[in-house]
Amino acid sequence: MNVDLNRNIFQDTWFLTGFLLAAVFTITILVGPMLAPFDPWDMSFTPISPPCAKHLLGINDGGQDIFSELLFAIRNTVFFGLTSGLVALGVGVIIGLVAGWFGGLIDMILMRLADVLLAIPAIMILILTAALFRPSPFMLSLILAGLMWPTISKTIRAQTLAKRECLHVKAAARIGGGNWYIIRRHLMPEMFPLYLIGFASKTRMAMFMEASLAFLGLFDPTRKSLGLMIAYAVKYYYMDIWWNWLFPPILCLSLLIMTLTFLAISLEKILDPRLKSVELLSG
Amino acid sequence: MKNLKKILVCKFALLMMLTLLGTASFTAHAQVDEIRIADSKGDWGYPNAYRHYPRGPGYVRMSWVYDTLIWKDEKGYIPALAKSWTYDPKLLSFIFELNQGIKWHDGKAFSSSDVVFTVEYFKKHPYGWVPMGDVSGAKAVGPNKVIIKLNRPYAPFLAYVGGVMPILPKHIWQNINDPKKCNDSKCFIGTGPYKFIDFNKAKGTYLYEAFNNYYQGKPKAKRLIYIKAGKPLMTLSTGKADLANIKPDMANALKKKGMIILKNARGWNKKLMINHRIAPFSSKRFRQALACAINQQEIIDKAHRGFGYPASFGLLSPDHEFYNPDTPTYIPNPAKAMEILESLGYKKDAKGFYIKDSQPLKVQILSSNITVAGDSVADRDGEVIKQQFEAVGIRVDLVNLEQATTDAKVKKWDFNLAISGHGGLLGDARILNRMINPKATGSVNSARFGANKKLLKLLKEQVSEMDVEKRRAIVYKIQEIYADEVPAISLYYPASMAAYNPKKGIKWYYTHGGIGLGIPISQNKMSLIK
Repeated sequence: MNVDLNRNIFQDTWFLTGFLLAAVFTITILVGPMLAPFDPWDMSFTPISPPCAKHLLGINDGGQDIFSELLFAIRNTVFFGLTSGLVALGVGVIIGLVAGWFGGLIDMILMRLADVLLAIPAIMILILTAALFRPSPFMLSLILAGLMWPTISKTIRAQTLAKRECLHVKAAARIGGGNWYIIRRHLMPEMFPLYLIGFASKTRMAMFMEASLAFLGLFDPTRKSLGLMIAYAVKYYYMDIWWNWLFPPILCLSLLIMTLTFLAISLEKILDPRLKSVELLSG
Repeated sequence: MKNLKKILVCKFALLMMLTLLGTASFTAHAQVDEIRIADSKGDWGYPNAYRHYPRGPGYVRMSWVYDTLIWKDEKGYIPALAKSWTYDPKLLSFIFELNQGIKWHDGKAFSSSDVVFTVEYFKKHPYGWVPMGDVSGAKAVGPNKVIIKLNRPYAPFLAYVGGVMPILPKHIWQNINDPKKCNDSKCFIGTGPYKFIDFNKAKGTYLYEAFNNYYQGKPKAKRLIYIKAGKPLMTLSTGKADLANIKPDMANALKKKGMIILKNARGWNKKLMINHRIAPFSSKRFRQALACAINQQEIIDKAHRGFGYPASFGLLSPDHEFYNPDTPTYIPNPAKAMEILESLGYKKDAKGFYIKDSQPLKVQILSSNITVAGDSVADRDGEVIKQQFEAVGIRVDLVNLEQATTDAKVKKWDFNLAISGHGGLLGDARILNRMINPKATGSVNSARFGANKKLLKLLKEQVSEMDVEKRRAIVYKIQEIYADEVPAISLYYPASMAAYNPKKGIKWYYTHGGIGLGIPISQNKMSLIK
């Protein structure tokens, strides 16, 4: 896992594209509310109006400015994804390290638990939970994280098992290094590249889930989301709204998912020796 | 030569006219292969009295299979199984002369004993759409005459029994003890113009086949098919369906494609259900505050782009013959709403929301997307009402639910406020009993309000009053009290439209007062008969 990240990463087209898109979205999320020309909940405009200088993407069926709505929707979708991704990563890393390092009964219990969770379709659990208990989006993102950690933990566990046999880890143990010391000082830092890949893939999945749940109408209908925007726009398929109302949230959701996919692919290519391209190696 | 030319031209013109007339008459009488009706929801249950869903489209699915004693067309009541009917006040009975030569779908002969049996069966196994409480019993006087005796004068008899009660075949149903569990094909044998062939619950499709021995004539289409299709513009334009409910803003595009557009009267209302059994909604003043906080026109403008009409707070539609034009109304007045809330002890917190005894005033609104004919629309009613309530200082938790879930919660009183809706507002004024009386069954949208004894008394009186003018006066009073009590708030009547393809030679229409109890759907079976 000794990779010169700085040297390789910026030569990769996938990473550069993903990085640029991520930068654009980060700016949008941070300054979105300031960029929004109108309150996205303000229903005082003429419904289903085409774009004009004042309303860049026009007005939706509820008399709301679509551009302002889009800016807030991106924030909500991304926050949901980031929360789920980060928590799933945290839980997955801890469980993977503990299972891999301690082994034995702990490993067996944790990995069987992971197997059970892997067998359950996350989307079904989310739909049922959202429909029956109506948790807040934050709580729902945590529930999703609770269903997504197993794949991360399995990867981390496998890597931990390999690292456990490394000489420097064995030496640390011989000279009296405690379990947590070794995990914290040797194992955790060395697996950093895996975290990025795991985080990117889980965040991507969570954002798509959030949009799906919102599309199904399982969130508060006043909460802005790319999925909800798509759901409303689709119902007016028979009007000429696809390019200014339906297309923007679909494009943003696709770009968000693509951003993380590009980053995940590039990081995987760079960090996984088996996937290193000849070009990168020569560079 | 000139004369010969003239004769030839005249002969040719005559021949052309005869050909055209011949074709026209052939078209009028020929049976088309099939008629397809599009429906966005699809599944409305099996088409018999005990298996259809308790909403209008479910009843309409059944109406193709089962005939009633009388029926309605675009002008009013018409004969069906009964060719004539009279009311005898001395006997307290309705007397029906039945048509002769009527057959059931299985070929057996229909007779007055089937009508007597049906009355008894519905008294023993209640059917929510036909309240039999005021019917004492029925007696056959020969094979073609039936007397239905009442317990007391019952003004809505024709609207609620004679014109709604599907007549069941005695030879089949006499052996069925649990009608709700009957799956057998014999449970769908009727005297209606169409035989029930198949229902696919998953796909939401229904298939009916013409009953060529139908006593009112051969149906105009060999097969009648309901398909589940949520995009009426596309289904009508591509010929996938011949009739569909449409959104008002689709009308122009469909007109250009040669479709006929039907516009219905105001017979369906979107309604805010109030759980008046729990505080603070049990307080009339609080409910009135909610009514003052609501701006009906704003809901129509913002959530429906102006396609709708503000509803009467007295429930009956302004198009109803018994509508009271002096029904109290609540002009949108946030200041008045706040004044009432403050008189009830609510005080505003720093954020401008009301609190009482340190508890925030927070209401939950269940929102669902139902509209006329059980269709679903992209609905922002909940959002607009939330804004209106929050503008006066009431916090709102808006919950979007599927219609069936909302219905179930309302039925179990497991809600604060719920946005729902129902039709029947153009039918008999007994709808007021059905939608107000706490003992009423058969509707998930009834306010079930029993707190005002005077209202209950009037409701009881209006159904017993056989004099039209006296009944009108009672119904006027009911609307006034209902509007004052606001046990539920009628929000608006959505603009209701349907479109059909005239190429099949079928003329569809909206029924006078709605099908059955007042269903505002343009699928009257008589369109395929006469």
